[in-house]
Amino acid sequence: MSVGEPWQDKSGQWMVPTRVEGGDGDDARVVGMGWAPLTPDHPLYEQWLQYIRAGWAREVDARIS
Amino acid sequence: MARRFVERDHPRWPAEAPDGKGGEFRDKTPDIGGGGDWADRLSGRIGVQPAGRHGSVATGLRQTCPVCYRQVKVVGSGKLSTHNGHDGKRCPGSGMPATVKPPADIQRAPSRATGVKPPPAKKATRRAAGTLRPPPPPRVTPGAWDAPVTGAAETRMADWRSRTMHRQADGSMYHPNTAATRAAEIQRLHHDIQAEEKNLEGRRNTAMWAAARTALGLRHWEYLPPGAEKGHESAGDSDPFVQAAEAKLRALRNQLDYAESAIKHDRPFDPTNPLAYYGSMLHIESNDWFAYGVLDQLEQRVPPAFHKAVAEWLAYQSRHNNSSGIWVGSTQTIRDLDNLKRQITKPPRGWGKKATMATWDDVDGVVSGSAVYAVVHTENSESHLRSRRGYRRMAGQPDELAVGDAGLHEFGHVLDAAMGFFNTNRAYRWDDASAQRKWRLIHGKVKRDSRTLSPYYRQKGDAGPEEFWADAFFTWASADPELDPIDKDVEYPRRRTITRQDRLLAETYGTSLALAQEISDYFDGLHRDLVSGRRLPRIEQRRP
Repeated sequence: MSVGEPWQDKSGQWMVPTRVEGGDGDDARVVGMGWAPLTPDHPLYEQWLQYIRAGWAREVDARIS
Repeated sequence: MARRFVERDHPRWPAEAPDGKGGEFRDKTPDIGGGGDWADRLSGRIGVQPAGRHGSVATGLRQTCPVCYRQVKVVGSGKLSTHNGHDGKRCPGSGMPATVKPPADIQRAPSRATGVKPPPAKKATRRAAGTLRPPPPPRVTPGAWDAPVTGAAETRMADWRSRTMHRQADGSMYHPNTAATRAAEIQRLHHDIQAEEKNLEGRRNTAMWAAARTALGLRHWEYLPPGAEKGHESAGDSDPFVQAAEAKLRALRNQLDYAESAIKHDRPFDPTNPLAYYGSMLHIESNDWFAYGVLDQLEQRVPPAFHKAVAEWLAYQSRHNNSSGIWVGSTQTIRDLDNLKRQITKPPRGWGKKATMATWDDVDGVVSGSAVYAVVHTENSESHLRSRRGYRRMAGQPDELAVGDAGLHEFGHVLDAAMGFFNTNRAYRWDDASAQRKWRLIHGKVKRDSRTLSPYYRQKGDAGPEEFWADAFFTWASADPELDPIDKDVEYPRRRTITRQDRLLAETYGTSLALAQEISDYFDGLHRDLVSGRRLPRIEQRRP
């Protein structure tokens, strides 16, 4: 239900939500939400993988029970 | 240490007691408790010595000491008083906790523990009373979100647009020369009046001391003995500086009255139609299901009071930002929306190498300088939606909400800023509501409690709490606050009944139900405080 749930594109690439920032200083700060591919150089790579696996486990669990 | 009088420790007669004793102290008569006129003596000191946290005698309560069998007083903290045993030495029963309780008919002064609670606040409804929920948008196959709206939705879209256009043509709404600058003007007037009040007080004192010096034959540099100014208080009445300051204060207060009444006059807020309040600040850039979904969520899911706060906040921001407002588009990218190209000039900063870094064209929603809030439909959000079609539906999630999620999320960011406060704790500046200690504590608890919290809300610095605020607002607003069917199956001690909101929050963020209730209580409280006026939106607050 959360806005930032990861998803897979057609080629199977996982896309994760990204907070994008721009502008200078507090007044001109621009904050947005976009999507970026999950690649091994992502600083939160391990955490996202863990999260995605946990979600997958939840899905399977729900299907079995 | 002298004992302090704590009123709630002293029993009173019940209201219906005979001989007019109702409400009087119970042991005023010499034969009970401490005896004598202690109550009068103590009552006379109320206000002189305020109640502190010190223990005090709970008069009238005595208990047999279990060690020496003497009758011993019970002191305020519920322990037996210090006393000596039969051998004349300190009895080991001193300080033991007492077991007797005050008689049930004792009427105690209201306190946090015993006071009469005010009736619980009515649960605020999302929709204004008397309005019916409009028909939900029909389910459209993915890929058709850019199709033009039809049917009842078309009528509603036309209605939203006409109100916007009407306000634009009429010119009374949010033009930089009128309402928006008036909000700034009001804040400036408050500051000026505060300064002028201080000035007037100073002028009056100066006139008073000058008169006292003259009366004593002192030069202006000579020391004036304390108290010498007594009897010269009226000297200020004829002083020209005092009169000028009074006149200026009168004029400023008149200006403030005028400015405030003018705002009330030309900005009527209709809670049944909250989007109309944005007037020309609401830019509907497309006529398709995506825009309809976003607007429908905004109108139906957000309590009207939040719209009022956000609209005034955006209007206030137009001092700095000419394009402040809400932009909803679908076929364009964020930068194509009017004026945003000029604001979003640099590439987004953040993590990642250039090859994989997001560009502004991949961005679904953006909040710029907490003044511009824009949502568009991108290829990514399309794929995101498509991927979620098969996603297991969660409890409490309404079926008709499938699009425009980013709209409510970004609205959450603007509301976060609109409900901000002047932070004297961490940094001496205006800050968002998500920087408040209360929210940081909730966010910390969720991070510790939840094993499945998305890393998006675990980001470092302000990013994590801010994103979590916006998204928790989105989740809170998405579900109805009605009783959840699982409520009857859950029996552990809990805060209150479980609503669908609580369950949705718990499932979304993987927290316990108790913690989810804490989150929804936070937003319920925010709304209740805003409606009742206990908490002011940021533009109405004064800088401390």
